[in-house]
Amino acid sequence: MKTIFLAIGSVLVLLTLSQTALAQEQVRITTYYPSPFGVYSDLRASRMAVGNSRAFGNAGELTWGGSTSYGALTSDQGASIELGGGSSGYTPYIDFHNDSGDYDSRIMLASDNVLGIYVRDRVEIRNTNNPSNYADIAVKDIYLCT
Amino acid sequence: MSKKKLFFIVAAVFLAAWNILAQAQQDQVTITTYFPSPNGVFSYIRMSRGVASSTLGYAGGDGSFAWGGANSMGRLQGDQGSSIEIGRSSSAQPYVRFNKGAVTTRIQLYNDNRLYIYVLNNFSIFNLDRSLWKDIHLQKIHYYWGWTNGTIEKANLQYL
Repeated sequence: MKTIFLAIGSVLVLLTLSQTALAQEQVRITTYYPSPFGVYSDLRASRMAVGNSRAFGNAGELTWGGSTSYGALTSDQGASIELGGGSSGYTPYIDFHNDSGDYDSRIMLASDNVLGIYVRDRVEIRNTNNPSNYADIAVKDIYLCT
Repeated sequence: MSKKKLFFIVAAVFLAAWNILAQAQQDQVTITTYFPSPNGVFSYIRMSRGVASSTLGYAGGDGSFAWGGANSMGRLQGDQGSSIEIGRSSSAQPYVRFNKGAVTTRIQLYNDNRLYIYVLNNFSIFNLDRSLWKDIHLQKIHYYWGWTNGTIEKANLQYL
């Protein structure tokens, strides 16, 4: 009888120790700060750069493009836009779309010192407060071209 | 009951209770993570490409950024160094507005093929330091003067 009690006691002790060992957990948590991908509802930053090689601008500015880009939504004069980049061959533009095709109108730095406005029909200069009225244009020479 | 038996019974009960308690005390750890955080304030953010919309896709590859609502074509892209596209794929009158207090000037695609420039006074073409007016090249000039409208074009001009 004594031996039986000793045996039962030993088994219980072993069971207890084994249960305790099994209850120990190893938890590994891997965090990414910041996360490499994400969907945000609201995101605020002092400065944003879009492009792996694009430099940051000043506070309140967003820059984009490649390493030679000048593209920036800047805080100058409240809020301004800069386009283009460091290559002499660049012809930066603003495209206006109103359908799924290519641009409908374009304002582009066509070449050195030439800003082109590209339209399929016409450009109109109108009064801001009364858009039914036209406004004036002031230029040096007018070249009428065919 | 002998003392030994009593001791072993008590010890067995104690160990059994300990065993039960050990199982009962297994922790349940709940970790709530936000991947990514839905809101945030950062000092600097760099991204390869981005979108400011819950529905739009990416505008392109590295260095591009899209924004706007459904069917928007608003894009900052790296073409020609850096360029901008605005508007949407249907029924759009996209514009660039220049604000100076209450005074605004805007360049707007009014409808198909017509780009309007809205100004309060006049639209001028200057050199960079605004010391000289510069030239403009056109096909035709349509003028509207009271009830008299007309067109000036090269074919109608004579050499002076």
